Amino acid sequence: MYRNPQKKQMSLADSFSRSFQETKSNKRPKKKIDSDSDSGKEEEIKLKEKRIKKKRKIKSKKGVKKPSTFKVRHVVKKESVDPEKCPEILSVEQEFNTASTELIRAENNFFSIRNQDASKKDFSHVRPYDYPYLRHLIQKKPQESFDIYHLKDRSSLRAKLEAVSRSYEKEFLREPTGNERSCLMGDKCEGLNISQAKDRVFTLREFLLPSEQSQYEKTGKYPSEVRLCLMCKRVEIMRAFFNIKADGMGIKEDCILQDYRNLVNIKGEYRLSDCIVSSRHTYEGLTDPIVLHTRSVYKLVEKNGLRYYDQWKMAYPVENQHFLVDQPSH
Amino acid sequence: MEDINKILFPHFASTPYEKLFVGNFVDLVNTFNLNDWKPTMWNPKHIQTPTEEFSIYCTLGWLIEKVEEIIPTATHTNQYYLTLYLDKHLPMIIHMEEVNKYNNSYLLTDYGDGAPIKFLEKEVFHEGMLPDVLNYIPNCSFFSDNRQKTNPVVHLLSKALPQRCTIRNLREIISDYCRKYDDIYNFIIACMKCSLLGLYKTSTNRPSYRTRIKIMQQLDTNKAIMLQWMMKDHQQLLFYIIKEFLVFGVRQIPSIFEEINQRYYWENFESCVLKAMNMVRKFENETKNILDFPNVEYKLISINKQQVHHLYRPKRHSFATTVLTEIEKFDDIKCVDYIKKCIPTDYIDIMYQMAIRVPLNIKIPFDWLKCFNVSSNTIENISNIQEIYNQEGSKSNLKNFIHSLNRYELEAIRDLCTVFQRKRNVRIFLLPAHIYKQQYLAMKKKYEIKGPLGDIGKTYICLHCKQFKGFCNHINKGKRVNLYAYGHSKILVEDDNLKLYCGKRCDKVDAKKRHSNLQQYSSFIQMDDEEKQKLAIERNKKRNSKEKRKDLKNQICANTELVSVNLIGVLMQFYDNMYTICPVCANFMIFDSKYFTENGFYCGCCIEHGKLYSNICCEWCKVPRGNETWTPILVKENEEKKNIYLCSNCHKPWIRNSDGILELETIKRGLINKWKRLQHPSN
Repeated sequence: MYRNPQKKQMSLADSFSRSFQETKSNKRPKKKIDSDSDSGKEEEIKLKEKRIKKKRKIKSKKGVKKPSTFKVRHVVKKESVDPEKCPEILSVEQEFNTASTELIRAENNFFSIRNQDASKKDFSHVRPYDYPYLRHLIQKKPQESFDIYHLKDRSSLRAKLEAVSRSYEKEFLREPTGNERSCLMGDKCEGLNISQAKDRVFTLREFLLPSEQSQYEKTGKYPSEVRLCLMCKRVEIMRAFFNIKADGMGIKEDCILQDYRNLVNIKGEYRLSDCIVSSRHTYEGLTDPIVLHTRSVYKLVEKNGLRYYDQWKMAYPVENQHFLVDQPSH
Repeated sequence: MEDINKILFPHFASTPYEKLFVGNFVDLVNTFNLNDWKPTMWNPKHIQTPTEEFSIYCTLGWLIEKVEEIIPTATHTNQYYLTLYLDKHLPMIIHMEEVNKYNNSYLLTDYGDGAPIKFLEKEVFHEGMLPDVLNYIPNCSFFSDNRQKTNPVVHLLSKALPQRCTIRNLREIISDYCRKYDDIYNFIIACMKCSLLGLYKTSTNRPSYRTRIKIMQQLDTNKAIMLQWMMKDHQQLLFYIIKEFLVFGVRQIPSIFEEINQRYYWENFESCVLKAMNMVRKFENETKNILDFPNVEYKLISINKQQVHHLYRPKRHSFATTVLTEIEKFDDIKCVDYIKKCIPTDYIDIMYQMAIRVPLNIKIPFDWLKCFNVSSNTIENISNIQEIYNQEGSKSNLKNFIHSLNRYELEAIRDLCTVFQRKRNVRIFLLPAHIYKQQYLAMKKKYEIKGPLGDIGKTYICLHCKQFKGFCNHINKGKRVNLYAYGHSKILVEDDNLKLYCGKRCDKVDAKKRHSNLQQYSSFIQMDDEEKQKLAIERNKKRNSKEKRKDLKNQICANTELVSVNLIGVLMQFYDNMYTICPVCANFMIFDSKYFTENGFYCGCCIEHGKLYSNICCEWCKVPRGNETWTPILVKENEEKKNIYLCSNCHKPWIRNSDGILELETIKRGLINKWKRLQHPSN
């Protein structure tokens, strides 16, 4: 109910002054009224005294006298509380089982509700002992990707995907020479699983992104960490991609699986049907196409005494590229 | 395939079989000692003494005998190559038996199409020669049923997955596809060849050369016969043949294999398929027609039954969606003519506020409902049903449970499910830098803005009717739609405070064609008029209540304030579609993973022949195309072909009707001189 605060203040001030006056008057010595037998007041006083005497007579029953006793003083036993005698004092319990937990919670909730900002929503429907849980949930920070009411910061850091051409990738599908480093996976490199090469399989050289490659060309220094080869990188990305598909949840965080992208349906590049991208229904961490790694598409070739894997089963894009459908879709 | 002789030679060097692999077949015939030949070898001619005139014939017989002798004792890999070695010579044998001519002079004489000995040069069929459809495997419905519906390869391979009820009418499906597409027929026949001849490296049982010959002869017959064979009782066999291909294909894609190996009982599946096909390849109970496969169907069915426990159940829908569908059905049945009656309307907002603060999980936290006065018994029951659904995909108890609920609890459960469905389906993701930059530039270009963009790129969504309010570019019946659209669709604006509300209006329930029991067609249905009337009343009641619910939904929509979203630099997943801004034309688009330029994705509508739609104008009068449809005209300029556009005024009949490709210069000259017909270049 709405009340005028000014009125409320006035009434408070009045009540304070009234009570102040009362206490003052109590402390003041009472004036003695000279007795006057004929006065009505004298009569009243006498009547009161008589009544009090009568009351006393009724209360004190005759013959029910209590036996007189000595006054005994009780001394409370004392003991020192130290960890030796009471080891339980050392234990720290997070929750104490008190008989009146519900009561405490209810009181807490009652005061919490009373203390809450009036502009906030009304939670009166919530049972008092559930309120802390609810409050805990609502006071949590919202999950970024789910809170549609709070948009993403446009200036936040974004993934940088480098475009990688087919001809650039070709140079990384070979064995390392000179000071080039081998794939991080070592003897588990995908290059060793190409069945067409039989006993002539080899570990591929590490795959450097175009920016890393140009950095190397400028400084002559490789990145401090050894990278995966192109095949292993394709496998890793695809593995993560299928894992997300299998979970059926879409990607959990705002992240992109790829750090490079392939060019598709452009002369001399890949066909889109040989690549993989996110489904059109759910974001699965790929915004741009990446070649799908299939062991049977590679063939061993030798150039200038070096072993290469040629992607011979990955055709170049042409019009009407496939007999069934023009484009893959998910 | 490398030369098989080179592969096998090192394994048999210094053994009596060494000479089989030295050089080629010609060398073998030349060095072959006719005394080694015995009449018990392959001998359809029934000759008793070998002569020089039959040296090829005798060498082939000896070769087959020796290879069949080695195979059982060779290693697994060598067995595969020895089989290929054998298969290399079988076309020659088949031909000789077919024409019933075995002497050298016939085999070495060219009668016009090359000498018959050329059959030995035919490339031997092996697993690497199967049609290349491996890139379709990732699109199969391994984990959910959202596979590409139009691709027959994906459809067939999805059928072969170890999931429930995949076989159904497989025979008819295969047969239909084979009739329709030759490539599918070739694919199926190639798979049959590989499976029946044991040409996968993993096969352990392979048929003898005699059986192989029969199979090869049968599989090379014409398409009509094979289609007839498919429609006979061979469904299980075809099912397993596709399964064997899938097992082979998945092994070629390590990323898929590793993932499904964890989730499916894939190794079990592999061994089961291998065992089944090895059993088929034994060709027990062989009949006159090798492709009859007596008893094979029964055996394969019994193998299927053993595998029931290892089947994977992909989740078709989330639990929230399933519950919401069931509740909608329940409302239909009960003729409910209201949306919400018992639960306060703001509870759903509180639930959403709670939901956006917890990580996305497959389980809906139904225990939250205790805060909304739902009994613990109900919470326990729905949680159990959810557990069963997530583990086994079964929703058998859900219907009864929903029917047993009181209205308050039902509405509370529905609200929580709606919230979690929204949480799962409404999400925003950051786009990579290169896309963001292009979107930004495209926006600036479209709206001619020099400074920062501000609010441009903002659009609205209605969380109630799940509608996206921006106009998205798309292709409808071959026509590009919304290329020039600005603003938003179906929005109500409050005059006082300029707040925006959803203006969607659901259409009325269609008057679908009901089953009217006409006497001439349905005389067998025993129904009296009273019963019919009763049914009609009930149907009307249902329809009216549904109509009322729709009206109420419209009212809720009109009172739902729209949520604004700025799509620049982000990808919004909103109920089964992903929305963003086209980095080329700056219109809203649905991400389709189909259209890419060298700079990344685009809407698929705004570029025509490499030109942005807004840049397309008449080559002569420079009038912009706008919404008109102009067909590009192929012309020559400096001996190079290119496409130009002409407006309807400039596209004169003599240009339209010209047979050859015109020079651009000729067109320009004609338009200056106002030609009525095409003239000679000298004019």
